[in-house]
Amino acid sequence: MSEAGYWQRRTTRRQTLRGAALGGLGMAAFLAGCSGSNNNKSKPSGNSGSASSSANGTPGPATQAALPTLTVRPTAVVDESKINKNNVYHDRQSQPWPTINPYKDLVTGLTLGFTIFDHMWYTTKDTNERVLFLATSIEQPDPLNFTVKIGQAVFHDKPPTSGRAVKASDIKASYEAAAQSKTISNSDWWTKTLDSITTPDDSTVTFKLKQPDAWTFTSTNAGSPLSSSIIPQEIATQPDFMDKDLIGSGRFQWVSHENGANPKMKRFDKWRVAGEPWTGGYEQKLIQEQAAADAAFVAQQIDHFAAQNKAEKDQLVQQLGKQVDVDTTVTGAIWTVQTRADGAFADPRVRQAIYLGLNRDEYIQLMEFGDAAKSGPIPPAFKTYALDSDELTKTFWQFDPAQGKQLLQAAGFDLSHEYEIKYYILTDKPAQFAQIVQGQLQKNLGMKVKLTAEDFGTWLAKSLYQGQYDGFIVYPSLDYDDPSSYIGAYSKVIGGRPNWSGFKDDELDQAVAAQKAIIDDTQRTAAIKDIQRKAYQKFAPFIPLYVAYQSDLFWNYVKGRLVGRGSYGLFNGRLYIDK
Amino acid sequence: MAAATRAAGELAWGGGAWQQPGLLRRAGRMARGHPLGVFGLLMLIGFIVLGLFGPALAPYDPHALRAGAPLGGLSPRHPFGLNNLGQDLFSRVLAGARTTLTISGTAVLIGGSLGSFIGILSGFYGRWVDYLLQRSGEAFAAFPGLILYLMLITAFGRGPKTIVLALAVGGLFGGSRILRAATIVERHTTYVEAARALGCSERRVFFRHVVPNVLPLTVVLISGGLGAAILAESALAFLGLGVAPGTPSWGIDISGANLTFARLGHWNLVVFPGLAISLAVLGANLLGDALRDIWDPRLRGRR
Repeated sequence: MSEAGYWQRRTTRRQTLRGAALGGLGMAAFLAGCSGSNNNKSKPSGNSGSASSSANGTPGPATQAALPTLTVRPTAVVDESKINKNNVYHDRQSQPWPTINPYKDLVTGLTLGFTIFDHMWYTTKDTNERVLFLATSIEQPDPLNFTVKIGQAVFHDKPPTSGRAVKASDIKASYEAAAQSKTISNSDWWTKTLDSITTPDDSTVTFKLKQPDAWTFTSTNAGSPLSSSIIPQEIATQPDFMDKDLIGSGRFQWVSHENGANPKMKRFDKWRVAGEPWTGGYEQKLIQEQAAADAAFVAQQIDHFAAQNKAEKDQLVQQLGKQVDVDTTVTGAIWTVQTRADGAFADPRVRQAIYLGLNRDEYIQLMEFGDAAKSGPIPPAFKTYALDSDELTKTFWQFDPAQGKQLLQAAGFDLSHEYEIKYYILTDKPAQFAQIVQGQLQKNLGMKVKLTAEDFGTWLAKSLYQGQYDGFIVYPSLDYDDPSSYIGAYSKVIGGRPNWSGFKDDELDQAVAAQKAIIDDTQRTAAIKDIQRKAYQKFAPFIPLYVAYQSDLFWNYVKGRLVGRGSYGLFNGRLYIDK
Repeated sequence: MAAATRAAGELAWGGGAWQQPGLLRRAGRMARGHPLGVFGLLMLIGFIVLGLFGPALAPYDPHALRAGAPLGGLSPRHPFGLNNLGQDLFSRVLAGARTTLTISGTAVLIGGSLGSFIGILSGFYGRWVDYLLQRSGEAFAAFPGLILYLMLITAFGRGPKTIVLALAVGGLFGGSRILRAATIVERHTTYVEAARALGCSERRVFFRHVVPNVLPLTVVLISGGLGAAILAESALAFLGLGVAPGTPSWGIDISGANLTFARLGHWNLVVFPGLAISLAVLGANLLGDALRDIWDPRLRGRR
């Protein structure tokens, strides 16, 4: 895409509506991705044709299996007048929210961002297309300034806004509040790129940037489903108001919750898109146990079920037959082994040895029973930006424990010291993953490693963000909608914090910063691929292993679903319950 | 010397010498009186042997990934089947005996011994010592065990030592009350009063007359508490609060992914570790009951 094409790209309202009309709540999938539980595992019967491994630990063929086709499922033409728009969509809430304040909890904020709050635009995952929501146009005369014209919308009819119109000043206040919040975004766009926001009139918002940033409009930055939520000015200046009540201008309005559990929302009849949403409400039921969620789905108490593994999916499909639909997608959550980059791991040969000692085929077989794909630093779903599998096979995906051992020996690595692998215990999978990492490091490289489990909060805030680990930390990355987030780990500073692993490389740091300013898509794509190659040459301490397939089951009365567009589908207003 | 010893072992009985039955004969007599206790003892000995030699007896390394096909069923090579990481479940159950029995056994030994000591002190000295110790015990008893454990994790970190500490502290005061009551009874017996009247020091009365007579109760407490400790250790592991995942442990093997796959038809993943827990607890409880019967004169001959 040309430079002009990128900055001046816009999508008409009609296009927006057509896209939204396809419908689909993949929210559970996205949220599960954020919480690290979005990957499915399946029993061996599910031979997906993925790279296989023999039972004696030798690597299988280093070929990459074909990914599930990411197709956008078209919606059949429906007669809107025949749709019962009063049915409520029920989904699962796997954990109670610690708060309903979107600025204080990621999962809460994302759920509300897709429902209660409106946004100016959203960039789709599959096409990287900027779709206008409240915005009617985005004009960008130069890389440092852009102006957004907004359409007409009103807030929910509750004090203090009492149904007043959404104004440009609300957007300014919302963005400024998001920029000040230290908990809702890990992106430094808010502090390093965003300079100021002005509102010449009630329907115009002008953004001034400190530096060009080609990723400004993506879901990680100014198009974040959380940070770009439009909140009334009265509340944005006092975000603690949202501890008690929520007022937005989204297609649903807040009804109730029970100490963070069982949130309920009902249709907002004055939603800016007339006639939508096509459901009377959106409710979540707190079901913490997977077995209970399975039973609730079978009993139609919830309309959607995210299978944890292929065995679960197969069993339900066998039990319920054609009454259920299965949507399969490739997640963007990369299962990652992160080493330290300092101390005993400062020598790149040590990190290279670890690259060589990890057998990806074994992870895919044991964790996912074949239902997964090997990944480089950028997941394969981002076809444009990911390195191709031939190149990855010769670099990131090499498995040669003998050479790894030689490298450790040459680097003088102390094999008698016991290192730790830190992981969180929110779900079963990180523990299983950590066990396999431990097994492979011990067996393939002769390293001594112990497992250290932590609760998610401690793990995230201290071990990961503050780099408090000795040796290894393992996790699935977030399931991002834009590719730039994946390479941010190579910077010296990540989200305002020093690099989690202690990795400090001037060349990569500058390259990551520089690509943001490359406006031309082709050049930026090349730069991003080059960054990945450099990361391998320097054996950056973030070792990407694989991404899993995700299976979401829906009762087939849930219609208008949108599949394959990432979390863009979560803004869908034309999902309906046909029963 | 030998003559003196023999004389001491002989009692005058109707004008003739009565020989005290030998140890084996007495043990046999007790065994016949408490067959379930013997059964429990044998089971427990069996598990202790497993704990000592289980990892050596295990046909596969219990940590080894892909000892066979993941989720493989029961077979001669893998009599208990394999979990989803391809680890041999039979080897894990054998090796798990060590983890479970070491943690629960150590905890119950520490908790039972300290609890007994506290109880005896409390019962013997009474007054402010008794008041202080018993009120402290009541405060501990009012504290939920799980929260106590979470606090200990925060303070000392996750790991076997913390579990041992938590289980020991949890069982500390329960046993102390029983020992306190027994000590109070003992303190007022005629022979203790006689010893005092003869001028024995409090220390001598305590160590020579009271402690030896209430100490057998400690064994009962420990054997009775072992079953509860095994269950508690398994429960903590089941909740993900026990030893690190991957460690062979019965509690871990009935939780997590094994539980998920058991729901999907792989029943063997939880049945065999669960059976091991049940049998070990049953053995400990049967032995505890029998010992209580033996040492508590009020219960003798009732069953």
